[in-house]
Amino acid sequence: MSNTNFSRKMAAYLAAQHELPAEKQDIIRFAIETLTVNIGNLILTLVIGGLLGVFKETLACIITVGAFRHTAGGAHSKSPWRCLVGTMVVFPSLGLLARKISIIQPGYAELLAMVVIIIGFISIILLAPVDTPAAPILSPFRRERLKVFAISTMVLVTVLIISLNKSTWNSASEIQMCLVLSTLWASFNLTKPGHSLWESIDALGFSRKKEVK
Amino acid sequence: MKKVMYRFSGLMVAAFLAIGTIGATPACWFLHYQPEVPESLRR
Repeated sequence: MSNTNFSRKMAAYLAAQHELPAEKQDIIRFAIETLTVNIGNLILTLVIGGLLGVFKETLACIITVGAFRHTAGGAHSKSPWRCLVGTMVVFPSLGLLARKISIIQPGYAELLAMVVIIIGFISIILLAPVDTPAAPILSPFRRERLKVFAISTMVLVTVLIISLNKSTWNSASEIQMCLVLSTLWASFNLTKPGHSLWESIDALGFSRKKEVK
Repeated sequence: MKKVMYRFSGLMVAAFLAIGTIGATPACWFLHYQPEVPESLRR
């Protein structure tokens, strides 16, 4: 499994300073890796979104997908660097696409929203939560609880999509479409084609393969 | 960097242990990369 050099070295240093057991060192490594990868990706993705003029749309997509990923999980890349590139491409693209779609005739946007809501509910009810070898869900109770949270998230997003449809806010249609496209992306990541996509990205040769044992 | 780490290392250790434990609770974060969850936090 891929552990970044930085997180391993920093965790080893802190553990040595406080004479911590290997178990605690591994928790520190996980915390550092989670924080650095998520914060770094978040900042870079928002910067790209800002440069493309879709900052708030990118942020809306990140929050929506994040809500689903926390509960429903989904496909992942095996490399933080490929994830970085993928995240920097996907979220601003969803924001740009949402802006384009939001200016088409309202009837089509509503139809798309309805179809995506149905796809979202079906994929979450049938597939969620989807775990990974790096973070397996071992307890059936936890699995059940995550499924309930994922369905609740889908209900909340549906309510927001419907509310934004009736809103008089200037950016309502854009943000509504961000929610719709993000739901579609999160649902896609639960499926086999979603896993195949990330496996294909992992198979590309643009990232270094060096892993620390 | 090392001086800062040395001075605040106790605080950092406590913070990272708390974040690591909380961070292992969700199915994943918002990204498309999942750091390997420590064995002791898998459930």
